[in-house]
Amino acid sequence: MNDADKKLNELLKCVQVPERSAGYWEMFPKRVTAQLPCRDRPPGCPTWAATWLARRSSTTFRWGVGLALVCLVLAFGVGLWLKPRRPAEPNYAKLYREIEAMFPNQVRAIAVDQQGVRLSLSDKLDVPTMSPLRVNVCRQQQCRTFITFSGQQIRVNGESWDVLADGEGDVFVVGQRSVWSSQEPRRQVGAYRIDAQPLKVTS
Amino acid sequence: MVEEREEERDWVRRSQSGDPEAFEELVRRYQRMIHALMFRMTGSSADAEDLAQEVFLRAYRQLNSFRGDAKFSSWLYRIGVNTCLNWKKSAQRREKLHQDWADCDQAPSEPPGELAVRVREALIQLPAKQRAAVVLTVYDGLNHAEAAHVLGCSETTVSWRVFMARKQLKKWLQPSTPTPEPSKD
Repeated sequence: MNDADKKLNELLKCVQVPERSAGYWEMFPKRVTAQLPCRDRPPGCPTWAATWLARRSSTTFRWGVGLALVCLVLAFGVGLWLKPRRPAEPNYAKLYREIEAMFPNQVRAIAVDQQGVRLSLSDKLDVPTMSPLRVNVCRQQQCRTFITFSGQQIRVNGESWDVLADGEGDVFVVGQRSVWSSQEPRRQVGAYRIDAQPLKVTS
Repeated sequence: MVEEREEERDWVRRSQSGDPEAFEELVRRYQRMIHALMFRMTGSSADAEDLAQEVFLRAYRQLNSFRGDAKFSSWLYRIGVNTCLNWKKSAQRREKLHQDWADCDQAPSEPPGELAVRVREALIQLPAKQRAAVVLTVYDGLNHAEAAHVLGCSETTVSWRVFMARKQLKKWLQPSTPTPEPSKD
């Protein structure tokens, strides 16, 4: 290299690269790698999740995962054991058949709620044989189910409701101030949610 | 030195398997080198920052093409130079560069003197491939064979580019020589 070239090199090297802070150099690699999951991975490379899992294959990690799983299963089991058991819903059709067999033509209504089963019976054998209806009345979280017949009355919280059914399977529950119809089953009647339908009884 | 190379080979292998932490180590090792290359090629600190990031992201995408027969730094240089050569140059960019020498988001270690400003201007005026040849041989200390490998051309081509670049630079950097018109790449 001749003197002119050496002199030029010296001249060129007077251009300094601007200094950057230590923080910049610390953060730059992280900025680059933070973009990597959004970019194409090298072809044939496993996913980040697989890599993460593969790197954590140490015994300690496996024991940790195993212990966590055991704790999870235990917690689930304890939770199930402590959970208050709901009583199984009674078989209304069977209930009706048995009670009707005991009190033929006397059963006006059968009421089932958390307190148990209560019967509304006629003094005489004057209740006509009809297809039974199931009427469910709920207020907030409290529900009561009635097995009754068209033309009978049910009482809920001191209020009387007439239950009527037409020949086409529609049911009406008529109160003093409101009416519920199976044609509009979602309609709420005051504070009550009502559901009524014919009870399928197989002999 | 040997240990460093072994360590680097391990990082490369792990990066090729998709380990981001290994790649982060590679970035940490070569970030200053690439930043300097980008700055010398573009003359702009802000552009150097963006391009440096781009270089590493490209390197990551092309990692599987690195077979380990050359130095990783040479391979990275090549990506860096190609990134700069693809960098779009526009008259507006050059004008901005001329108008805004202090285009840094951090304070330089010392303010560039008038001579340094002229040298930077002159470098930027070189055609990109000549500029790359000068940067690699003068600033980064590569010999012509190594620079040829990085630039993907023959050693003779590198020698010719360096020769032409030096000729222009000597002419422009003579005292009282006016700033040349931007050259076309």
